Amino acid sequence: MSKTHILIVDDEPQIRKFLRATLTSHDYQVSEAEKCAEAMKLLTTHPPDVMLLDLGLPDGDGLDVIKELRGWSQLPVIVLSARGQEQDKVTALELGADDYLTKPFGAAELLARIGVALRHSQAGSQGQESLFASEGLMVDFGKRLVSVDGKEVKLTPTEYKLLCTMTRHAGKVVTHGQLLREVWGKHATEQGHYLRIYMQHLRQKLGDDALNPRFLITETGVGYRLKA
Amino acid sequence: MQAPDTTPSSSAKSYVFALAACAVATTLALPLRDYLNPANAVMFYLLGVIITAARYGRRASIAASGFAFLAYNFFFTEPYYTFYVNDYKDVLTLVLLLISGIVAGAQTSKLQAERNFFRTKEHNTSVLYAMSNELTAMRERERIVTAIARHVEDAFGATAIVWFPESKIPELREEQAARWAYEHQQPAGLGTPTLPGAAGYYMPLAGTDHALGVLGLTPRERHSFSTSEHEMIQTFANLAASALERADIAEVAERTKVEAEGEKLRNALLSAVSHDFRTPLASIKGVISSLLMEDNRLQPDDKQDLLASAHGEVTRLERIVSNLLEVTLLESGKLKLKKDYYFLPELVGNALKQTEAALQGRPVHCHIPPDLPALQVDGLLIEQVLVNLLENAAKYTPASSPITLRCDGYGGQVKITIEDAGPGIPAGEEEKIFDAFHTAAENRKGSGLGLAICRGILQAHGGAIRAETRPEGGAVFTVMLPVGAVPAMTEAA
Repeated sequence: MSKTHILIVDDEPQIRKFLRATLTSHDYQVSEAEKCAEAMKLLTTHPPDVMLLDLGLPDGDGLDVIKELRGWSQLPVIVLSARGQEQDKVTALELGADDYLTKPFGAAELLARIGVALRHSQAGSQGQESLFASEGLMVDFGKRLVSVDGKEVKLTPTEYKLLCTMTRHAGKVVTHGQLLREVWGKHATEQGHYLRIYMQHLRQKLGDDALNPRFLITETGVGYRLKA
Repeated sequence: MQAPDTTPSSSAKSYVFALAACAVATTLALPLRDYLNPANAVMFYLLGVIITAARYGRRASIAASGFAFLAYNFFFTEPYYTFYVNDYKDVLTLVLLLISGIVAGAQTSKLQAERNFFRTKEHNTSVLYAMSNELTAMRERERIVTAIARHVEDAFGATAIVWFPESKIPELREEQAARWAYEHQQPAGLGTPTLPGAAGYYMPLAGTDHALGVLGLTPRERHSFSTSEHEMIQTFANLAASALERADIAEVAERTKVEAEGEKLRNALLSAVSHDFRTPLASIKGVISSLLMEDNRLQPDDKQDLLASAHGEVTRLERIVSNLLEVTLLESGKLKLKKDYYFLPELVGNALKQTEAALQGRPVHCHIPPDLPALQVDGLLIEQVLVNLLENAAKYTPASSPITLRCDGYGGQVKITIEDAGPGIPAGEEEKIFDAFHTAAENRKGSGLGLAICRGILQAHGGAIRAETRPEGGAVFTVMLPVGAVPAMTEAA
């Protein structure tokens, strides 16, 4: 089996160097681009398995690369961006990016996110699984059964739908907008406050402490992440 | 202060009224003709003339006297229903009626005019008073300009603008008139010798040493302003000019103050940067250079140790950089809050995670009531406040000393307190520690930005922060934060 291929798109040579060194030492094959145009060319000629994409590129906005790419490919995209640019992260996720890493980040975080993204793209091609299990939380979609540490938890239909949506994206950040659309329908994007309340109820029923969450993590300014 | 009634329609109305007054006098007096002394009948007409004078002024009253003369002649002198007069006494009565009608009318209309004059004057005074009152309280130029335009429009029934050299009027002729008035410091446009064809009248706004702008009035129906109105416009212009000048002076003073504070901040920043950046940089450079040495004889354990310490220093630099960015944003007033709904435990949880390394095992006891409602805040910034306060507690307390975090709801506000078991705040420093770059001199442990950022963020949220030393020892930081506009939950979950 050939090595997993990762495309790095960033205009900072030092960052590319760090990424290349980390990834090649973990047995990934790496190609690099420093501009949008170059990235688009590589995406068509040598399609990678994952793309790491910086948003501020010299010849354009990384967001445009995502928009264009999503017209014909579902390959996982991880956005690299700085703290304080939460709006960009939300936009990237809603355009179809799979995840983001906040600069500066460490090697462990980088490898973990790439792992999650790869798992998702493989699971996606195999179709919906019938069971989700992680960290003591189990959801049996066929029987519509939720349990924590083996004990059954009763959820309302909305809470269940919310949890299912989170499991579909397990390990990845889901924006408030995505959750509202997937759980309440595409016209419900103004009901932000309800989402927080339902999430709070769901946490309470799962026995998840927001102070030290086991399952549901708040990504402030962006959305929620279910630990995978 | 309305323009005098000189339009054709209103003067026609006054003559119709004069005629009607005589007709009414005739109708009332005629049935009594055989019982009345002729002098009594005359009184009816005089009454009509005086009422006309009071309502429509001198010209109408003369017309009314004329109508009265004719009507009396026609109905009350023999032979009736002709303009012939048999008796010379009747001729005398008629002439006297005409003269006394004219005199009484003139007197009445004069009185009326005086009354109008005083009433207008009183109205003007109150309009001016209202405007000057409103302007005194204002400092922002734009609001002053709007207020002037509104008051002038109310007072003169004309469209008003305040023109500045940098502004532009679409109509070329109006623009020229305004610019001429500005450059020559003399009125121009409607009713003046300069560009009289313009639709508006332009009065310069003169400051003490330079022209400030121009006040332009365009009457809704084209007519020139009267002399008294010109005087009035001048008074308005003087008031407007002094308000604008005051605003300019206040703005300059404010700018100077901001510049001075900026200077102070830059100096403090330089000294902080030189200290806070150099220390970690020196240590990182040292570590890397020793690892790069080809013949380094470091044991793997020592290598790992050195790298870990360099990593720690980098984290410290990272915090300083983001603190500097944040304080710059806060000081420049460019920080925009991105408010959203959060439950406090989520934010506290994230802050604890971020400070895990800095706390070095100091236990944090959290007491948050489970029914605390959601807050509408900028979550990242409030997280930042909590991170800075926790780091501050870690910095000034001995290893493994406990920290207590409490939250409480207080009608529209939440109170967050963070207590530590350190030495407390030096007396008299409770306020100063929130100033940027202020750190206790003998105890220099940070860049002195963390607490300044906390205060800036809370002020931006309409909240507050204060620090005290607890009676039982240790410092306590108290944060008050408005809950924000949180909609009621109507739907059952």
